[in-house]
Amino acid sequence: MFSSLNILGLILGISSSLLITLYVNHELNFDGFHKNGKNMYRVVMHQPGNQVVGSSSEWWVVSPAILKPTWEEELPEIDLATRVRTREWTFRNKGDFIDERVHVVDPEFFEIFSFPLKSGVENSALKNPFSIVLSKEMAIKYFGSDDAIGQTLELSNGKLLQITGVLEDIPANSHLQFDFLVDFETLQTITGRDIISSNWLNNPYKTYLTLNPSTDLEEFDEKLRKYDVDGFNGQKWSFHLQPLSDIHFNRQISGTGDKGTLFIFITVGIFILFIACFNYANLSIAHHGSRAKNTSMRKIIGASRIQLINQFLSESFVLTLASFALSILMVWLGLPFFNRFLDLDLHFESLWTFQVILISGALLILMILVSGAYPAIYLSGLKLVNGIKGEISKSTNSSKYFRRSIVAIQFSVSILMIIGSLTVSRQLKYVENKNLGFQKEHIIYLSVWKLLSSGSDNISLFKQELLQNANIIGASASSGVPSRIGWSNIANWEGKSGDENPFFYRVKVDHDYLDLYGIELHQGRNFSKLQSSIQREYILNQEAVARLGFQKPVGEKFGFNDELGNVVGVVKGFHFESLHKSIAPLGIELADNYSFEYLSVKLNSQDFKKTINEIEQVWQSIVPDVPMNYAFFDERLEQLYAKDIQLSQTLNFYALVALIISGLGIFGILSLSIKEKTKEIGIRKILGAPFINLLNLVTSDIFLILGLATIVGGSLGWFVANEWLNNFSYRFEMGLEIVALSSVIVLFMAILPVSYKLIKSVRSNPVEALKNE
Amino acid sequence: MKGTQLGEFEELILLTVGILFDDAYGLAIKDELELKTKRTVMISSVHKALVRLEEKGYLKSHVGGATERRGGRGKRLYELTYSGVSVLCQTREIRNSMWNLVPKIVWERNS
Repeated sequence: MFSSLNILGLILGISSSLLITLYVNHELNFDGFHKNGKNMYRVVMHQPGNQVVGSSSEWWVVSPAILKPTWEEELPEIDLATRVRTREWTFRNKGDFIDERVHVVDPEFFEIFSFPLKSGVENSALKNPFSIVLSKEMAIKYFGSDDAIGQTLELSNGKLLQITGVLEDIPANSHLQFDFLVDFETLQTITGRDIISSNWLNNPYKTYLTLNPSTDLEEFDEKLRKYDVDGFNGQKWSFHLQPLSDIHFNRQISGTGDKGTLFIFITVGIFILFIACFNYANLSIAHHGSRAKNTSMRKIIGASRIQLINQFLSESFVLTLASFALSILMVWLGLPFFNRFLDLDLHFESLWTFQVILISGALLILMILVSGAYPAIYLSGLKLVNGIKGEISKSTNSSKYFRRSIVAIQFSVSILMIIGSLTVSRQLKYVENKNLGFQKEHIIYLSVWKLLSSGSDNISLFKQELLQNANIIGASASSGVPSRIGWSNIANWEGKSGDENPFFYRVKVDHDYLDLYGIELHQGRNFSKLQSSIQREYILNQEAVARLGFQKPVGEKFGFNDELGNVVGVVKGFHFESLHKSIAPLGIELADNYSFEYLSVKLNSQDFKKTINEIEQVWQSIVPDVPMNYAFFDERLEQLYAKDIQLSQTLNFYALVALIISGLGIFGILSLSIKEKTKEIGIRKILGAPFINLLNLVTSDIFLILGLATIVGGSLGWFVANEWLNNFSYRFEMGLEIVALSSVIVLFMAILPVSYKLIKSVRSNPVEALKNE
Repeated sequence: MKGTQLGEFEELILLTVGILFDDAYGLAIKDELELKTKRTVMISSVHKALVRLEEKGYLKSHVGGATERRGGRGKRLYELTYSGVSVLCQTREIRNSMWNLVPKIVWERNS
């Protein structure tokens, strides 16, 4: 029975850690698959004084078209260089029109990056103009199979492109993701003019390059000072090189990796492994202890110490190896679920890397030694008499102390993880329930600027038409929707001094915006319905008012850039960005047709599909060949917290794993305790002791250990949880009840199974217990 | 016709937006203008004119590219509207008709 418990706990621990290893590997090896990786760099630009509102980063991934040819000629350290630009093209697919994002690159692209082609030859795929390379998914989407070489793709303007290559799957841990590749030649031919500008500030390109390996990076950076340009506000903007390996984790320069989360994952993985191994050691020792009789008998018969040690070692070798093998099987089986659960794309094959095998090997040896050698040496050297008496498990103080501290560590870790899990869940709940200052349910938003292609009044026509639909409660056009207001301009106001140039977020809306989103006015009123008022009208948020120092904002003059209009209202608590950020200053402006990107539509019925179809029909009647793109507002909002949700699910999963493993361990130890004290239990029962008394007998140590663990695990957990919560500008108040709750959960987990066992053993005949002498 | 008073600079901007087709954003427009007119153009004048023309209804704009980038600062791309195209055509018509009315002798005398 011990063996099975032991193996189960071990397998659970090892598989969980392996899964985490896969994830960590995925992150740490981001972009690691390029064969030129060590010498690859991305050109970035430092633009002091040009930050995004609310961010402190002055780094941008931009470069001018002319950078590549200039540097290639003047800087011999550069080996190869390629530009990358994205364009949005509309393709025709059997009568439908679909918007796709196309990456435009230089011929050196395939030489620099390692993106192999499934079919086609990398070096010549994009040689001829009007060639296009696409991904397998796109080939299937447009042609039904990934064997698409030679086929043609049609653009909405009638031009034809020939498929000259199909890409192999692009690894998920590549920062560059794309579906279509064309050459710059092709782009120029299609647009019919020379698109390469010689202006160093005109920078819609990304440039990647490889350097000669012997280049001194600092010296090279000095050389780049020659290309510094004068930025918009008199500052010097400069080019620098960012190594490929830095891209993923550098959040200042549009990286998406999070070292903090990774750290949490690594720690969790180590903790789980710890618990599992300690469990294993503990149970093995206890197990061997209970076989002391067996061991002593063997010694009497004549087994030498070496033989005994051998026996123990080989037993544990087999056990450990079996556990490892089974763990790997578990990982293989469970990976698809793990991937789906956490929204990842991990591959089983990634396990077979040098590092993983090395660490696993070392671990395997360590575990065999711990579980085999320690008891082997200790037990085989035991005095025969003690062994036979079966008194070994009444062990020395030191071994008891050892076991207790292991249990304490397990408890601490479990408490720590439960605190983490509870904290993240609570914060997500807080986010879900928090009043964001606007309504999020039943709203979809469509991208509508394309409607203007066949008529300048189309957006309002479209809107009016939709409002005829009984299932549509409201519609409002705007330049941005909450969580997608990227636009910012310099604020202007009466009394502004020359050198103050704060950026405020800016959104242009129609009269119905505030109403549709249920945004309440704190002061003032909504925009007036007067057609084209002489003066512009603005509604500011509280933060803008504070920044401007307006005592009585309504009636003040405000505008963007050079304009000045009237402030007619103030909103408060309008969280138009995620709750990670504090609210930035915002100016809401009344505008008409132009500059509207989106139409937000509030739906009535439950049958969204039907209503959306009806909307699409109206769309088609206005612009027949243009695809309609829409999204559900609440779903998009949730995406703001995607990483946190992922963290939450991971923590929940691993906290559970930690609990189970610890539980198995505690169960094993306490079962042993029960066995040890069978006599005592029997006697006390005869004397009439209540159940609680008996329970206490077995578990008295546990309370003390748990108390200690609560203090250790609790304070550590408290600290870490608070650190994580600092990611959010708006968070729930964390109280000690989380620590208390975690402690109680762990207690439950420890006591419950043992009580069950105890009850069983107590119900049995006390005479039986006493007989065992 | 609303406000067919099109300044020379505004006309040039509209034409440039037409030339640049689906890539007409501030800096590209400035570059193309400088290239074609061989004069220095201030980016601020370009932006002011773009805003003015959009309000007059001759241009429409949208932010190009999905806002997957941090901060969502995609480029604001401009396109000619129907009115924009018509006002350009009108202006050209007027010019052409006036050109045709100048007697040949004026050209011959000054060539």
